[in-house]
Amino acid sequence: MSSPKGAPPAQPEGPDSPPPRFRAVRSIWTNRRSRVGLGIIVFFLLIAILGPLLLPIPRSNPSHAYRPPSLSHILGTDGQGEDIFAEIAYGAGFILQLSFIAAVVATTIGTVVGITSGYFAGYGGKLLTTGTDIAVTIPGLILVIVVGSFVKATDPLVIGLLLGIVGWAPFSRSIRSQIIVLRKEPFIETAQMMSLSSRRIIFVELMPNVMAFIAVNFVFIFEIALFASVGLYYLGVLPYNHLNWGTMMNQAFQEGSYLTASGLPSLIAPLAAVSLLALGLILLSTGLEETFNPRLRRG
Amino acid sequence: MESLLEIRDLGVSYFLGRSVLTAVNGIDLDVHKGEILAVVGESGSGKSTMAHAIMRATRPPGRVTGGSIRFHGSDLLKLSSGEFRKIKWEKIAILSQASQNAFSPTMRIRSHFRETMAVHGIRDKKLVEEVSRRYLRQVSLEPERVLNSYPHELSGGMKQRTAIALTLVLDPELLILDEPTSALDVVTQKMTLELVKRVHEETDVTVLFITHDMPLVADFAHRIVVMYAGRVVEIGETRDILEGSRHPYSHALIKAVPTLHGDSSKVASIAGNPPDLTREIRGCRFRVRCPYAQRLCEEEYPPLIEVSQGHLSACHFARTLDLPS
Amino acid sequence: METTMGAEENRAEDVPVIELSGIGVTHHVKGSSGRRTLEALRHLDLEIAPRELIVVVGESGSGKTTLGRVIAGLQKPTRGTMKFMGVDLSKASREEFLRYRRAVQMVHQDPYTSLNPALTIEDSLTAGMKRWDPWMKKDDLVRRAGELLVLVGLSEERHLQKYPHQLSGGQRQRVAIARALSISPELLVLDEPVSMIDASLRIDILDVLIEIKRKFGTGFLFITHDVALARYLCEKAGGGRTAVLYRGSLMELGETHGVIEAPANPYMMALISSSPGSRTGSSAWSTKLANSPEDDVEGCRFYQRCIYAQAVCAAKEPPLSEVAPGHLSACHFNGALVQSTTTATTAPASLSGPPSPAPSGPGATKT
Repeated sequence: MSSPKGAPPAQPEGPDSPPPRFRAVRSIWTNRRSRVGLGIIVFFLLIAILGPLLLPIPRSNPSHAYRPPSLSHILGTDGQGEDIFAEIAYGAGFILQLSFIAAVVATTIGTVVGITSGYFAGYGGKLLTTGTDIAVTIPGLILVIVVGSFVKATDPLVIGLLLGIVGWAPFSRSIRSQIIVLRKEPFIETAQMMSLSSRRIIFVELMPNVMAFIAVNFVFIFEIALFASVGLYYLGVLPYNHLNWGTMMNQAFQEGSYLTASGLPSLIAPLAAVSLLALGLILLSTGLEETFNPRLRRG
Repeated sequence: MESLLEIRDLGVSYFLGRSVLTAVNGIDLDVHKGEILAVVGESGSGKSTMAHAIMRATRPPGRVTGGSIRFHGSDLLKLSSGEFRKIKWEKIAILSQASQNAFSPTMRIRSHFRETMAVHGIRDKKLVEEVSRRYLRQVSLEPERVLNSYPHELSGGMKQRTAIALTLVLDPELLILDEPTSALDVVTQKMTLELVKRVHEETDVTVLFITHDMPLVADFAHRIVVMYAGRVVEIGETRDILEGSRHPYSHALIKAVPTLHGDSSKVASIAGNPPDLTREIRGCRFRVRCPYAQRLCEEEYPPLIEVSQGHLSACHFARTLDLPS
Repeated sequence: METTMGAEENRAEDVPVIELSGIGVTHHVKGSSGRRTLEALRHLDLEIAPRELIVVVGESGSGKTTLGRVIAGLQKPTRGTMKFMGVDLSKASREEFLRYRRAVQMVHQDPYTSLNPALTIEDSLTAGMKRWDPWMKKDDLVRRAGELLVLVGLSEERHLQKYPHQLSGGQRQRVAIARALSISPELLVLDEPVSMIDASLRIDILDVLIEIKRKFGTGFLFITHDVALARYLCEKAGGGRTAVLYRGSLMELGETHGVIEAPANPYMMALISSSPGSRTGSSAWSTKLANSPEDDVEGCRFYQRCIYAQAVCAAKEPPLSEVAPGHLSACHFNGALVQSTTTATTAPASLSGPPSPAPSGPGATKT
């Protein structure tokens, strides 16, 4: 950070200017990108919550296979005669829970390890750093496949936990870099000169300055978990789950029905759902980034 | 005296959501050919904003709201970007605090010179080499050593000098120096100024020097323009301003900086705070901080009054004011 | 442990607050031409008395910032010993070290990074107080914070709830000073505290420091490259010493008035002549000063850029010796050069005065 050159003349903002944290929340609203992104995510949340309340669980009904979109089946039916929209709705809750848990787990572990290894330069820090480096090199995909094969779980929380444990390391490294840079800032030096406790420095002085970074990364990990899980379910690596976007795509491919017009919705629907949700997440994280880093703003 | 640059009624404002900050509020300024003109003002006076406007570097939320900047007769603000690009660097070059850090860390200095000249159509390697060496020597640097080096291998002072050489390489008519020495120590500062002075003597380049430090330009500039709150408050020859200022602000500004041999007891800071540029101010903008303010100052904005040949002051009482030395 | 702001009454007046003996700081830098050793500070001896104002001047690279950081405890010296109140810090007990930690605080150069952007001014000011006086009640803390703001010239209570980005650079520096004072230090190290502030706003901050010294007897180590500021500060404060550093070595040390009006060391003479408003002919130093110093030289560090340099200067490094009582200089020609700069040299008019007006009309050429 250096003195703002080329910025508007140094006129202090009014006394009513809100602190950085609240500015961030308010900015999510004003930034068009993040507003749209948030809207998309809320949309899926609503579908996930209201869907199972309003729609019956899709049941196999081969006689109704590949029906085109109609009033009773908004998106039509798939190869098993199940309502595609209902499948999407029930699958949404699953995937959202899973990705959320993964993001929480990865962010939490990553933050704790990253901040500790970044701030404490001694043996403890070095140990954690080395541990992180090792964790990064472990091929996550293989690990998930292996663990997934004997943890026959269909609970999204378990899968989410698994993905989170596999994916915390890269985030830990980037938070560590941030902390290392922040550690050298004069205001941290001053805190050390005043003999403030490490706990105080980490939680009160450092954390608020990396909250933005953590938030953006949380959304990012959420997105990665989303793609990873859909992909893994599509590949059939994770234990079979009936109401799942990935498995929907898998079935559509297996039956080869997507080559026909009537069969297309069964593939397009889950694909579009994943893409749309991912778009929402990307927009939200871009918007967050722009908020926290004013230099990225494009007016 | 021919004017190289004629600024008329220039206005630049920053549009910050609900409020509008008027950084430059109707400036008239002539830069004479071949002179060294210093624009002195504190932060918020509008001096840097004005420099950016001349280089068409005003970025949102800033915007030029009016006026003209004539260079050789044509209004720079009205040229197309292509036409302006031809003028930029070739005719008008700018050196700022950022110039020192504008070097690409992965390119040798030689490549920097090549690139700068290539942008303006000079690609002949021999010619580029010859010109680079000439200018590096002019700034007292050893061409051999510098051209082969990477930016991080040069000391701060050497980088500063190299940056100056780069701005001169296309033989500009006007050199704008935007607080180039603010972050530098006193020895490098002096060296930079002497360098520019020498180049000026050798090539007759016109120099516009922007700074907040009045004593710095005492031995350097021909004329001084003092800015306050987006307007010009005094113009005159250096000696006239430094020794016989006829504006309370310029006078206070000079008194506020301690000098090497001056009387320390006479040093006094300027009372009050700079005005809020988001608000319309009636009358003279300095009046709330001025010890000589009268009713008239609140009612009417003081025009630039000619105190003597070439010496103007925007104060109602410019001619009659008794300012202690 | 002090609970009120103020100097300790029962402090032994003759024990220096900080005593540096043979302090050296060497950095190992990896350049493109292999590893180099950079000596930021060479053999340095310095004593800072209680309540003293001492100014450290020098160009960039002189080691003045490193010196400040060593004294403030942010940089460990690679050689030499540092004593705080007579206690050798390398051998100090934890308690003694903590005493030192509290007693020496620092104000950084850049007001835009010295305050935590995520904390309110009140939080920044009370952080140290909470740590050192943990039994202070919240009301007292806030009141103390308010008092500190008044002390540094920010009289409005509402500043307490503001965030750093809502204050100007000068205001932020004042807060940084207030924060350093919040735990009643004995010595405040200020590293070019006003160099990033407009020239016209600097003396306000300096006046605040002078007032603090007067009221509380706090000592100051003021680092700057601006000799005029050093002079103003010491004059207004009623006295102070100046230490002149060049490339890690102490070149001159003495009462500020004497060092500026009658410098004994050529480097100080060069610094003064480079300062705006100097009476000495600048041309005398310009060409020589433009030379780049060589890295490893046997003799005087200033040899390549000194106008008085002789053979002996290249061969042997001059020791620091007394030119007058309390006035030290490291130059082989100590005393012999004193006279030549007090008489204002009349340099050719074209170089010491403002340039003559540009010739009007086309075709006027200059060689």
